[in-house]
Amino acid sequence: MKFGRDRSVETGEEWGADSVSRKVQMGLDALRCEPLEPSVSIEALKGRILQETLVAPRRPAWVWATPVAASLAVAFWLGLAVRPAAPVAEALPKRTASVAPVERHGSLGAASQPAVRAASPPEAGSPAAEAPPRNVDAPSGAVALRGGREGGDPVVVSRSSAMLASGLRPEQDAAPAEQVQTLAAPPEPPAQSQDSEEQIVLIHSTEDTETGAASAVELESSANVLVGG
Amino acid sequence: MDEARPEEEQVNAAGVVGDALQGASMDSDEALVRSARQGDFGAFERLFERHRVMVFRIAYRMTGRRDDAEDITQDAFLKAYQNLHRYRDEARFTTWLVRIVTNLATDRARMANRRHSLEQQEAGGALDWMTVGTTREDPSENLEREQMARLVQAALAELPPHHRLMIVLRDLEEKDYQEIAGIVGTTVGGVKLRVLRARRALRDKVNQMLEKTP
Repeated sequence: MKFGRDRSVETGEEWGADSVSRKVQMGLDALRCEPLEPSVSIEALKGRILQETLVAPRRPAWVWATPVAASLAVAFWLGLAVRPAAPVAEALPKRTASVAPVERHGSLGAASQPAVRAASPPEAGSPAAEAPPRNVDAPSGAVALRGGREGGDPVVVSRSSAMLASGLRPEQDAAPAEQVQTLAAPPEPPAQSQDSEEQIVLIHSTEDTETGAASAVELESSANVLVGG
Repeated sequence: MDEARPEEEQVNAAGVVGDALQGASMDSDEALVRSARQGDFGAFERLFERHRVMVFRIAYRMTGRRDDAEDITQDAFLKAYQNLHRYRDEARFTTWLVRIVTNLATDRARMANRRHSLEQQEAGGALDWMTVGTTREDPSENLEREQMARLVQAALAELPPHHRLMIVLRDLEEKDYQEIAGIVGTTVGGVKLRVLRARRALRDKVNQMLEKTP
């Protein structure tokens, strides 16, 4: 039996005479004769067309991406253009706090109230000139302050009497640990021992090795000073 | 003036013949497409009424689901309307339209290939076919035809979409090879080969189903 009505003549293709081929042809004939009526109407299609044409089509990505990219480019360029050539911190005048070296004093008052002054003298009328000198670690008693290099950052080393007594080092200490010599024992009253006057705390900053011995801060405090006697 | 009359009559006669030809060609698909391109929606309505059943049949055979087929039918005519300016007169309008339908239906069939939910639709279709379909003298033959129709429909649903398309276009819609070649974009020889392979695949599938059936 040929497949289909007259197509087998055209193609030369034949279905076999087997039962499967006959059944397939029977099924195809039945499907071909099956009435199929769609429920799609022209009104529905018209509404769909109107809906598709009236709704604004989606804009392509470049429509919104271009202005955004342009804005970002302008903002980036402005950021580069406005940025100063030198950092602000370098452009400002330097004022380095320094403390005069503490001379050997016999009294607590001179040692406990070191004057903090600026490396560059403040202009007249400026707040810095009118402000009273800072009192660094005034209540603690023993203070060791020194100025570093001219123009460099100040190194302020303060030690309270309790620290000196216990041998603790403040975390702010800029000197290496091996360069700080502290008393292992708490200072004794002067009346009991004269050797306590030789208890000197030498604090060598790392900058001292660079700038010389002149910039070293030497704190000499006697037991009398430490105890306020 | 007298010499001009025969020429005028000739022109008039030619005009009458041309009008008649134009009137006949006005009803063609291509003429309706030209009118629709110029904004005549009535011409597109006529195209829709003329081809909607054919479009629906192809979509239904490809998907096996009535709702999917109706969606595809609407989508196909919507696409056709939106792309009327792309239609070229070299091909027939039906070829161009069926190409749209087969593309949509093939995509839908690939997506729905895993669903395997054709049984309910087939049952509904069988009921319709039994009430509306052709009547035969022999009830047993009617029953066998119905069973085979459902079996072939189920086997079609399990075929790959490219095989299914060949069976639908050639054996169900009875398109000639030339038109199928225009639809799928290949040569006539290529279409014949594809149809042959699709028929073999269908026969093997039906054979497997018959062996499984007690």
